[in-house]
Parts: sequence; structure tokens; C-alpha cells
Amino acid sequence: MDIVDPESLVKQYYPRILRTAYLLSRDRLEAEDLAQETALQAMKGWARFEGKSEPATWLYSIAFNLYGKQLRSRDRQQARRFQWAERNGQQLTSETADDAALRRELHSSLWNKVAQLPDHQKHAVVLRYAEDFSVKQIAEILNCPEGTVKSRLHHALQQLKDEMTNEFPVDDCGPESRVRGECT
Amino acid sequence: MTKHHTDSVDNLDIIEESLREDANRLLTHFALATPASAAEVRPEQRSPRFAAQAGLLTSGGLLIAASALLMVHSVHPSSRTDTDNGPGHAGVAMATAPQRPDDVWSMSMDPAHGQGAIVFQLVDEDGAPAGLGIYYPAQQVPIDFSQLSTSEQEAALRLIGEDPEEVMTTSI
Repeated sequence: MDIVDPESLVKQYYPRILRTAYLLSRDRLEAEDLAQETALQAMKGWARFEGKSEPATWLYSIAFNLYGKQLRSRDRQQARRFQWAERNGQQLTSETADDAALRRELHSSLWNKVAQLPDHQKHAVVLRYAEDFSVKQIAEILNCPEGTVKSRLHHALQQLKDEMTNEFPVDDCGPESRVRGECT
Repeated sequence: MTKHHTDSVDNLDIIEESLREDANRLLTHFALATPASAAEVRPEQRSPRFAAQAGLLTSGGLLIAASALLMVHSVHPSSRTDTDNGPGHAGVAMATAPQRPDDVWSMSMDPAHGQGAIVFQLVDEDGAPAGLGIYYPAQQVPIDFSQLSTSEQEAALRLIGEDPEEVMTTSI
């Protein structure tokens, strides 16, 4: 599908951007903030988009840049939340049933282990296996050489494999089934 | 570990496939998500600053009013109109119409959620009402009033009919 305007681009990719944001932040509210801000920046910056990359990779570049900034300001935001909540006698969290279901789903999936990877590996894994971008596209989004992406993916998968091997004892339920979440 | 197991875990394809499947399942939780727009501003899920920016961006409207008023709320409670709908009131209490032209917001309780909800009037660039919004403070990062520029603070206060000079010297 040819994307000719920023609203179509955002509309088409919004759920995926939100999922990526959630896989990165593991927090629904933070994910929504990131996704909304990405949408906003994409719409504002569309005029500057020169078409040198695909619209989707451009959109994800924005998301990852914003995520980097969000990480840097996270402590400040948390402090502000607590400060404000204390002043107003409010609870900070109000998890809905949907949020809880999402959190459980994340915890029971292999993505829970991805969260423990170093950030640069985690970013590559999210873009490759959640968003299905090619190595070339990931290199554009993360602004690094393709070889670096390959290396990060390789190390990440090795790490996941090692963890799976170490974590699960040899029994009737093999690692393959474990990975698939078929064992209790 | 049997050879079968070793082969399986050595096969990185399985991990890759599993990651993809799990990611697809997670996507179902977000399938219906849409970004806020001028037609559907969802301040209960967004920070006020974003609502304001989105409004300005997508419609040219002036949602900054809502943003500014929320900021005022956190530092200047005397400027608000409290409306307790009492026990037994179901659901979110939406604001009544503004009591006077410059009374563009009110505070009400949402007993169903046991928390305060700020209901506010969205206004367009001419100051005309453009729908109501609702915001749950407990779920949001507040915007620090003190971080606004002086002119933004003054504009926010004027929107609720307060004298910036008086308020800013006594309450902030």
C-alpha cells in the first residue's frame, strides 16, 4: 500500500507502534505516551520527510529516538508522578482488566526474557521479530551498520537459547515445548 | 538432555518462531488502538500537553485551554468549581454546561472508580465550546504549572476567569 499522507501512515501503523512501545517499556501508559508522541511527531515532521527511506522505517526511527529521550527523562517523570500523587492523595496506578491480561500475556511469553537483554539487543529483536523488519531496515531505524544489527540479533538469540537451556531441566517436556509455553 | 532436546534448543528457528507468534498474540491487545485526533481527543488516556498539541496540530483548534486548566487545578484549587454528585451516582459525571462564559471547567467525582475526574470544556480558537473532555489525574503525569512560561500561566488563569496577578502572587 502506498502511503501518501501522514495520517494514513500513522493509522496503519499505530497498533504496531503501540505494541513495540509496550515491548520496550513494559508499561501500558508509557507505551501509549510514546506511541501518541510518535504519531504527533510524524504528523508534524511529514513535510521534512524526504522519502530517502520507507515511510515505515522513518516512523519507527521517530519512535526509537523518542524512546531514547523517554528513557533519559524517566527518573524525572517518576519523581513528578509521585510528587503530584502525594499532593493530590491519588493512587498512581489503576490497572484495568485488559492491562492485567496484557501483562500476564507478556510475562508468560518469551518476550519476558527479551526484556532482560541489553537495550541495543532488545531493540534489534523487537524490530526483527515483532515488527518483521529486514536487517537493512533495522539498520536504518537504529542508525547503525547492518553488520551491527546482525551481530546484535545473533548475540540476543544465543542469549535466549542459553537461558532456555539453563532454565529448563531435562524431562518429558522438551525445550521446544517449553519455548512454546506448552508445559506447566 | 536427549539428542532430540539438544537439537531442538540448538535450533534458533524455534526461538525466532516463538518470538513472532508471541508478538502476534500481543498485537491483538492493541489492534483497535487509534491515536487521539481532534475528533476524538481522549484526555483520560493522554497527558494534557499532548491533547493540546494534537488539537493544535490536527484541527487548528485551541485545546490548550484544557491543558492549561488542568495545570491550574493542581496549584490553585480555589479557582475550581467542585461538584460532588453524591453516593449512588453511576459512572463518570460529565460536566454540566459552564455556569458562566469564562467558567469552562468543573471538578466532579467518579464514584464508580473511586477517584476524582476533572471534566473540562474544550474550546476552539474563538473560545466557543467544542465538546467536553475528561481526565483522570491518577493515571497521568501532571504537567507542572511552574514549567509554563509566564504568558502561558497568565493565559491559563484568564481562561478560568482569574486575575493572573492576584493568583500568581498568592497561590503559586
